[in-house]
Formats: sequence, structure tokens, C-alpha cells
Amino acid sequence: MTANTLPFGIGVGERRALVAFLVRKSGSEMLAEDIAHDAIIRLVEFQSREKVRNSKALLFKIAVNLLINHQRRENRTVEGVTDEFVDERPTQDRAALDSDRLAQLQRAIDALPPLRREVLVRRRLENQSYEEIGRALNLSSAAVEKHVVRALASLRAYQDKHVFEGVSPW
Amino acid sequence: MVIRIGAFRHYEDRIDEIQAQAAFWVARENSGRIREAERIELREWLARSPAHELEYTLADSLYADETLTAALKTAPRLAAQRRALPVKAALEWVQQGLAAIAWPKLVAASLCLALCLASASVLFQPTPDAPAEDSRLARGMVLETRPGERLLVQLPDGSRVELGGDTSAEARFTPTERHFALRRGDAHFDVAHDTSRPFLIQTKRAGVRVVGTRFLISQLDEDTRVDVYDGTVEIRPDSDETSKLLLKRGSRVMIGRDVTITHFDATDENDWRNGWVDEAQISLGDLAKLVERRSGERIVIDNDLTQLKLSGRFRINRPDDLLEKLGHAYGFKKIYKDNTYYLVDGN
Repeated sequence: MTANTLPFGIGVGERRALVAFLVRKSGSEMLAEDIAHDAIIRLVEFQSREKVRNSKALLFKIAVNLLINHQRRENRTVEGVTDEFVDERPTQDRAALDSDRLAQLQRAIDALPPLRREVLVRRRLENQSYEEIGRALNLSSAAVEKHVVRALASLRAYQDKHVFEGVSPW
Repeated sequence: MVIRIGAFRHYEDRIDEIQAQAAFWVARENSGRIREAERIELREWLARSPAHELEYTLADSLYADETLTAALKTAPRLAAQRRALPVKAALEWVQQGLAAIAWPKLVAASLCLALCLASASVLFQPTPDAPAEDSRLARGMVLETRPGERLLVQLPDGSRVELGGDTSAEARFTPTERHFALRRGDAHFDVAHDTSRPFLIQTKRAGVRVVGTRFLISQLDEDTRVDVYDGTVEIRPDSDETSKLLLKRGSRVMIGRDVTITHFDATDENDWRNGWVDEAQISLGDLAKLVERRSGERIVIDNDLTQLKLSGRFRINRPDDLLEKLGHAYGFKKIYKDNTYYLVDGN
């Protein structure tokens, strides 16, 4: 791909940085190239419909989303059943990335207001209904839902903010 | 020409609104009570901008991510009451729970159940620094329900097991392993994570091993099935000791004469609690057993009807409604006499 086929704001240097980032995340150069290519095409489509100020940040975000979807799809192919020869334990690289994500999410959760955090724990971890949570914490169901929504939005905002900080935010 | 005011603003300036809206949809979808009109609205919202679609998928992946549940396990709690429920709170809790699920005639039974839970709760109060758990649990503790009853057991490791009707089980904890035998009936497990102390369940036809996850085991005459709601569950069918199945969220395994693996919708875990079952090709005999267990009603079926195969979503805690509707669809008659439902051929 030459520089003039790249979307506005994205040069060869950005593309190279993206591929390097994806190689770190996925451990596969071929996969990184595929996803970078796909992400750039999506960025062009995106920019045809939305005004974007920081196309580089958006490019990375689109790529991260593609990578997550790819990994989820891969997990799904072995989701039904795997035989005993398949080792489920993650490779060392994957394990390191997972523990980084875990630590990042823990920080993001710690930053939530206590009540909101409690609501999220009850909803997502303990799978309580809005009614159950409302009864336990003396809130209306609508208020419980608002807490879940805001907690999730805060976690997403935290992830976005920290994508480029530190070594491996994802 | 249509001028869209929103389109003049930069994507970056709208990101907070978009993230909030995306979070709203994800929470809504996972609450299990999204309405059809809202689904249409969601589809339209997604089609309106690639930014909506992107934020929605990111929020959805985050919500479904097992890393999130792992992170939440270590989160500071507002009030630590998960492990040691005070007896009174436990009583209220189970009564409220039963009030939500029980039929009027179960109210009397609910008090007895509440007492069961209360004693179980006292019994399982963890003492702060004593690794030795209750001796009765070390020797093996039998848990049983009659048809129509439910029992919620809070174990000292933080695990929660909810027994359905007509169910018999035994819990026995050692320092290195958590044993649970499900002899009859069905149970929903929410197993507390502890890699150093696996949770092992023996059922009629298979052994199940987990370290921390949520799933439902149902035992019928023809098969034993496991529905996985979260995490990974390892299953070894007795018929083939050497093979091991690893199942993830959304998988259902049925172990009978054959071992069959299918998928089910794992988004609504309250389905089972609310009395819904999702079945493909279940015999009327087996379905009637599920109904008997859940509702406590007796059902007698004509011999030539027991093998009738049915598929669909059935609400097993409302026998009268269910049998009436099925009778219309499959051509049999329902007669209620002497506290028993008789199903007879319509012709």
C-alpha cells in the first residue's frame, strides 16, 4: 500500500506503528498485517460518514476492536468442545497480556464510585436482577440500571484513555 | 436535502454521548427484558453511524469479557455480606426470593425452606482464621428437596447452589477438594473461584470438574445435561472415562446413550429460576417429570403418549396452563382429579 492510497491523516509511519502494535498484541505478524489492512479500509469508510479529528487514535481503536472480535471468533471455534489433546492454558504471551488487561480493569473498577461499583459487581459477577439489587441497596430498578450503564461507560472511557499509555493496555 | 445537525460535530466531541448510549444498549440487552420495539430502535441506532457500531461492539465485548468478571472478584465491596449472611437477612432474602417465584400454596413450605437455609447459613458461618470448616461438611452433608420445593445453599467457600424440586445431593469438603454429589434432580451452581481447590461434582452419568463458574445440571431419566453460563466446565462422561469435554459459556451437553453438544442462549440465567426450560425433542414423559419436580403436582400419562416428542420453550412451574396448551397442540386431553393431572389420548 502506498502513501497516497492511505486515508487522510494516516501515513506510512502510522501504518508501520499500527502493525508493530498489533504484532505485540497478537504475536502474529500475518494476523497483524491482515488486521491493519482491514482497519485502514474501515477508517476510510468511517471518515466518509463522520468528521474525525484524530484519525490515528481512531485507527488504533478500530484495529483493537477487530483484534478482539478475531480472538472471540477463534475462541468460539473451540467453544463447543475441545478434546484432551488441546491445552486450554494460554501461551505465555497471551497470559501476560491477559494479566495486563486484568490489572487495567481492576484500576478502572477501583476508580468507580463505591455504590456504582457495588451495583456492577452484583449485576455482572453475581448476576442479580435489577430488582434484587434495588432491594438490597435501597434503589429503584431504574436507578440500578443507570448505575450499570454509567459504570460500563466509565470503564470504556478508561480503556480508551489508557490505550496509548503504558506498555500494553489491552 | 436533509441537513443533519449532529453530523457537523466531530466524532471526538460526541464520544461521551455515544459511549453512554452504547453502554445503555448493552446493559439493556443483558438485562433480559429488552422489548422488540427497542431492538428495532437499537438496529436503527447502529445503522446511523459507524461510530455507534464501533462503540457498541467495544462495550459489548467488555461486558462479556471474563477478564471483567475476574477483575470484579477482587473489587472492594460496599458491604461484605456475600459470605456470611446474617440469619435474619438470609431469612428475609429467601422469603423475598420465594415470594417472587412461589405459588400461594407454597407459602407454608417457604417458611420451612427459610428455616433450612437459616440453619445452613449458621452452620456454614466461616470463622475468620480457622481453615477447618464445619465438621458436618467435612463428613458430608445431605441436602434434599421434595417436589415443588427449592433450596438455596450458601457454602462456606462462597459458592452458591440452588436445588430444584425433588432433588438429592451431598456436599463434602476436604482441604484440597470440594466434592458435591448430585444424586437426583437438578441444581444451579455458582462456584466460587479457587484454583487450588477444585469443585468436583458426581452426577449419575458423568463427573464434572470446575474451579469457578456458573452452570446448571439437570438429570432426567434418559440423560444428564449441563448448561454452562460462565467460565469453563470440564466433563467426563462415565461411559467413556478417557474422554474429557471442555465446555464454555453457551454450551449444553447432553449425556445419555450418546453424548451430544449443542448451544443455548446463555444471556438469561433467570430462565431456569423463573420456571422456563428450552427443550428440543424432549419426550412428554420427561417434560412431565420436570413439571412434577418444579410444581409439586402429580401427572399421570397414558402409555402411548409418554414417548411423544416435543420441542420449544415451556414454563414448567405453571402446569395447568402448560398442559392445557400442549393438549390443544398435540391432541390430548387434560383431566384434573384427586390432585392429579391425567393426560389421555384425545381420540
